[in-house]
Amino acid sequence: MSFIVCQLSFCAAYNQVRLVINDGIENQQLKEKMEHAVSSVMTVVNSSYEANLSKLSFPETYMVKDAQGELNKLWENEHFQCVEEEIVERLITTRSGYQVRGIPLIVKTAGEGDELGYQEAVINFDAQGVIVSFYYTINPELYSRLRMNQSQDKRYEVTDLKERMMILDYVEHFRTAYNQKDLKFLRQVFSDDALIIVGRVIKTKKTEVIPSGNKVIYSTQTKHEYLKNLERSFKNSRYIKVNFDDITIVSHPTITGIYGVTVHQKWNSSGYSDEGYVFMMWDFRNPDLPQIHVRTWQPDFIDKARGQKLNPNDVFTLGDFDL
Amino acid sequence: MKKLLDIIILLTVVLTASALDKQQAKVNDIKKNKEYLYSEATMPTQKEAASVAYEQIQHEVLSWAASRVSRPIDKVSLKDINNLVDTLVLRRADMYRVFAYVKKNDLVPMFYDKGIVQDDSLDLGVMELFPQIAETKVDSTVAKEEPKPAEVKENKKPQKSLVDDKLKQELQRRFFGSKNSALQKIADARNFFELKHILPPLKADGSIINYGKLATAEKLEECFLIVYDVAGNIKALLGRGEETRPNLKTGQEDRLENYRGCGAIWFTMKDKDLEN
Repeated sequence: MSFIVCQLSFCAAYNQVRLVINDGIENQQLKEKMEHAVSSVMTVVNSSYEANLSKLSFPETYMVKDAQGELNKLWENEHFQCVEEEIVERLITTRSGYQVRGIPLIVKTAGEGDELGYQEAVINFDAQGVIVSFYYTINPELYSRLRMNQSQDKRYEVTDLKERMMILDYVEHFRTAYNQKDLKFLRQVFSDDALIIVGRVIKTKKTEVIPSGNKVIYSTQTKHEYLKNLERSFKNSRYIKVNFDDITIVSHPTITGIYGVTVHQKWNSSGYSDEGYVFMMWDFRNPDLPQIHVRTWQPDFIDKARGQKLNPNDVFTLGDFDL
Repeated sequence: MKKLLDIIILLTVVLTASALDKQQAKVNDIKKNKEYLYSEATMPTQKEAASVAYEQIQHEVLSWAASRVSRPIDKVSLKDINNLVDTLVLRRADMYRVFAYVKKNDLVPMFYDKGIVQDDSLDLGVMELFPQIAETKVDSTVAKEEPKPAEVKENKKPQKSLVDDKLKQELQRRFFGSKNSALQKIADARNFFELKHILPPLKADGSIINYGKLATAEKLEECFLIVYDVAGNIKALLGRGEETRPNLKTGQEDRLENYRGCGAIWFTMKDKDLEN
């Protein structure tokens, strides 16, 4: 009997996670509140992972209902756990509250057998220290480079740190929305008159101009058409894994609040995968409701067998769209 | 035999896990310790993770140093700090995590060699105690001549006095008598780096009541003032007074306004300590 008790105690202790905020806030009470919130949430996540529960449940004192919903959408797609007993991170002050980054997660994606991956999560709090969102970060190295303003593309680079962080925050949320199959967020973030352009490779006659016989043609979709196709894709896929790397952010040369974000996207779902460049024109003129006016997708390769990549100069940019 | 093999495997796993836990605990201890700067990166290969971690710690070092000396620093390269940085390598799932860290105090000798600070024993924290010219109440116009950097040498011989012997004796009697060795010690300091080693012990043994930045003085007329230039060289030691003050080194009447562009530290002493 004592052996069973020990085992149970060991399991309970094994699942416990403690967050320690080592910098970024003076208010001790608020700091402890946020530490306790994250510790409790991650401990629930770990216990649910261990017990293979299909749904996560948290007290609302730690996390608003919407954030719980977002986390559960992520959970439906893939289960994850934090294997580190203690996480020590800095607190970042954001426009609407606080943020802690770098929560290490081991992720088991549905349909990939026992293969485990690694992701980092970012948790946002409101000014009172209640968790308002939980999503995956973009590649931490990329985030650091962009935060330090070390992007490769110097054209109209976004030099203001606050601006860059605000944009990165939304890009991260946007990326996680695909993993969560969160149509509600995507419906909200695309403007009603958003222009969606999708490129695809077709075979054509070999010419001097097109020696491989492959070329990219573009078709346009409305927001409604794009989201309808996406909804179908979400329904038919057991899991969706979207990764962004190689991010570039540029500001519009004359219109304040308009930004062009280009990412190299890796899309992986049950039954389909691709890689390509996604360009988004983001409008932050209303910072409480940023919107995407243009979204384009272009394949990485024109001829993968021959290793013929899309010419980087052909990737859509802000300058290709007349505002 | 099989049972023995199982036990050996189990022990190996437990020992490995224990070692990893210790590394993880060490990482967290360093992150919680304000004496360190750190960075970390988790990437698919160890080489990539190390490359990013080193680049980020260089950024951390430069940001921290610049905030302490209130000016940008561009003389420090990755090569300079590489020898000072330690790393720990851990795993996270199939990724490599490289944790790079350096003790702040270990950076100081390197900053001294690069001419970023003047004293190789200086704790950069003390730069806040001795403020730059922006702190002074006097009009902060730039000094006409570029002052030479303050020299810090082992052999602290006092400078030759500008005062004639008779006045010197009077000043000695009034301020630098045997009971006023505290003032003599302060007067002997040639730059504010030396003051770091003088003022705190004098306060501790009660020779002076208190000291601080010029902007924090409550009754300035009751304070002595140590005036220094942008490079930290001490320009004057002024006695108490409202509009005019005695210059305790020259014996002349002086005013704080004569030291535009300089900074100042105030200190107070008990009246009885100034009598012979």
